[in-house]
Amino acid sequence: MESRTVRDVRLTLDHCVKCNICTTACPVAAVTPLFPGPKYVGPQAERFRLELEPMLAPEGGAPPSPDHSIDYCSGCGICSQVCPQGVKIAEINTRARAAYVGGQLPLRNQLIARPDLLGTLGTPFAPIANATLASPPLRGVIEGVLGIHAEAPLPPFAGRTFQQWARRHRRVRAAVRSVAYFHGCSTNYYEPGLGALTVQVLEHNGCRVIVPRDQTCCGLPLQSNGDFQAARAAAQRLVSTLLPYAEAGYDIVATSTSCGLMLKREYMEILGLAGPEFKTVSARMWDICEYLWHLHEQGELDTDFQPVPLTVPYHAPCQQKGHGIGKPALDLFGLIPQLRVVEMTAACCGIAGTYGLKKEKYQIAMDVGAPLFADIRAAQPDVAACDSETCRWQITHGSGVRAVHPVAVLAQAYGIADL
Amino acid sequence: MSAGYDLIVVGAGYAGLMAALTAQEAGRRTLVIATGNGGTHLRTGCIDVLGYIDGKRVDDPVRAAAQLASARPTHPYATTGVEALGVALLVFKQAMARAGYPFEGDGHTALLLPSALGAARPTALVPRTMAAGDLRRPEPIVVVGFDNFKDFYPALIAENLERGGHRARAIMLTAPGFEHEADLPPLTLARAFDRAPFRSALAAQLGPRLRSGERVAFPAVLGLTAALEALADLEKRLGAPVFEIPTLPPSIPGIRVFNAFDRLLRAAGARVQIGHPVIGFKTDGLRVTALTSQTAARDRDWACDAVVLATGGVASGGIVVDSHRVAREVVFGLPVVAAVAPPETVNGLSAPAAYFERPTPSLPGLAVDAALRPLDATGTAAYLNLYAAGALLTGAEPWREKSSEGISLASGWRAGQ
Repeated sequence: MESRTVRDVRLTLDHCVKCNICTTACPVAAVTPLFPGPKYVGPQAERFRLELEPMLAPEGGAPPSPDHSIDYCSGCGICSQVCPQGVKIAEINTRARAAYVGGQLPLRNQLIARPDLLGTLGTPFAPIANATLASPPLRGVIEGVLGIHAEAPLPPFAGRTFQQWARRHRRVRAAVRSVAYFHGCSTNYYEPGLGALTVQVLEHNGCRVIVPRDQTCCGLPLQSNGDFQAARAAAQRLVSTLLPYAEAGYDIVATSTSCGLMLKREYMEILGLAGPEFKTVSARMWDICEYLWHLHEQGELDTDFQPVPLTVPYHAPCQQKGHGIGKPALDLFGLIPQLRVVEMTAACCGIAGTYGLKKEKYQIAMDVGAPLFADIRAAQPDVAACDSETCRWQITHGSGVRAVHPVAVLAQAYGIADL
Repeated sequence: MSAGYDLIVVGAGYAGLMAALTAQEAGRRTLVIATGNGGTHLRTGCIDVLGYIDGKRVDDPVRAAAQLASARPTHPYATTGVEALGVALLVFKQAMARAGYPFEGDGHTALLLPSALGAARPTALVPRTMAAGDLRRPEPIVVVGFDNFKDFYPALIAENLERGGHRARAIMLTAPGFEHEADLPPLTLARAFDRAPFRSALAAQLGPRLRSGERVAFPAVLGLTAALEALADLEKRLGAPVFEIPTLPPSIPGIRVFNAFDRLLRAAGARVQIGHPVIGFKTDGLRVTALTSQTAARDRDWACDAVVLATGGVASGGIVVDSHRVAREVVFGLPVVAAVAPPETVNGLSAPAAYFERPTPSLPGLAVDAALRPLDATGTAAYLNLYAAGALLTGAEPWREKSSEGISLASGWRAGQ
């Protein structure tokens, strides 16, 4: 059944005054006529979709939505952020896409929507898998067979997992508080080094860091690709893993900003999951930079930073903006001597999770990101910073500039590890 | 460094952006926090200062504002002072010029520009892209429209301009490359005008149909990021002065103004947070100490030394009026004056005329003291460090006076001091 929260989201469409401000900010509509804009596809078309609502229920299969352009929404969420009337446009559209897809994902989307499965399979065979992913002819075959664009930024497997590192890691300092770390699939399989830096930065600030075992995928890629049933199952699994920590009063920090947003809000607002466990976990979730800045506001952040004489363009990814927490990475950077930070104003890098990987959407994603790539290059940076992993890979792919999580910049300033 | 802000501005329309830029450039750490985009995106992109007093068109907007201020002590211009208006216009012009989107006009001459219906619209400052539209100039006007661009009808505009005593004719074009589009949104056209090949193809179509001595009016879509370049390029290719006529929202000229403010603010080190609805505040009794916004997981406080409230009036949701006609200011619950009077009723139904025919001296708004601090029920400043600006202020009739942006800039500049 439809949860109260989902109904509230739905009802916001009545606040739409058709001002089209969402369309002016939509990065996808700006580069392709295939997506006419959030207003048309969202609040406007939603009125024609009212009859489909029962089929959005967890049990339901659904006929196609009347508007096929919904498939070209990247799900960045900027429309909801700029709407002056509080219409939850992106949330409405994500649900409409699920109705359009009707649970029938093509093989490609089923694969790219399961990073934990890919990670589990790829990690032991990392050298072979990475050689395959780095080989243009083989990528051409993959594009032909699966429809994953041959040039799309697929990260290499690390060959070792962050969980393995965490199990061997010994705490180094007496702790004044305990936090649980939700690392997400990308840190576990692709960027275990980021997980290690995160733990060390938190420990440097007096945190005892617990890394819950058996952390599974948050389900965001499944949700974005329209398989709500599988996404809900993933949400249930992950929340049952994290719930004991939330109930024990641990704050839970996340370095994957989009996955953290799932736990904070989207399970309830988009997937319609109404159980009290989702609220309990949500209330404990923190984005890592949000948490560190929160410590600073309490006067508990170690601000004894060493100078970092680098130029770093910072791009706040769309899902980070969706947290509604401002830009704590910029606030933290402001504490680091000699660091020259350039705030990017371009809206979006284009990748939107798995969107830009797809053969038919790759060029759209690159066109969306083009202004950002140009601005990053223009800053003549040493390294770029961005909170979201898929955005970092896309930025590096599009601009040629290495992109790191803001935590990596903090780690250098603390003398933990150089960038 | 403290974790809070010297000033938080709530709202990202003309008043809020002006207040924020003024404060940040004076060295105060400033945060703009807003539910969404608004004022800029929905208005013409011109700076109206004062078009009419008691229905009579004025010649010198700033001087007329001074007259209005002395005749009506409750008018926002009386509170801000007309000196503030003059300075604010200058500061705004300089800021836009620095951002690469220059305005023309000096505030002391009423410019007359055609509206999207072909009426003469008085205003005070206009972006360079509209300057050649001044109806006091003699050249005949060719109004160009696009057959799949809605709500902009060149024949209607030309006919009404003719009625107003201006020579005008209409040309309808098909935008090159968009022949198969049923509906061409303004933003799509604006992005097309950013590109030289589009302008060249368009000029090739239009050029031969122009007569010497004419000037060319387009809907206000001449480029989103490269408007000045598009204007110069079109004028060169067409060999005629070119100007824009504002369209229905979304307003491309307004978006340019927002983007210019946004760039200047960030370059100066201010923070701009759109998509952050403010839902409450903290106070020590005398002063506002923090604003509260909703985040994805919890409410969050933003500590501050001062607040400028620029959430707009009824139209922007800064004030809501319920079905019992009780008006409420949404963030602080400040008392609202000049609430909507009960309309006349006919057979138990509201008479539409009652909404438009002067039911009250103004829309519901906030009363403020000389420092622009909103008053509480006792008539004294509600909080020592809370200021209000823009359409929230009571005492004006911006839709009748054509004074909206002038009030916003003057009060925004004052509040940002």
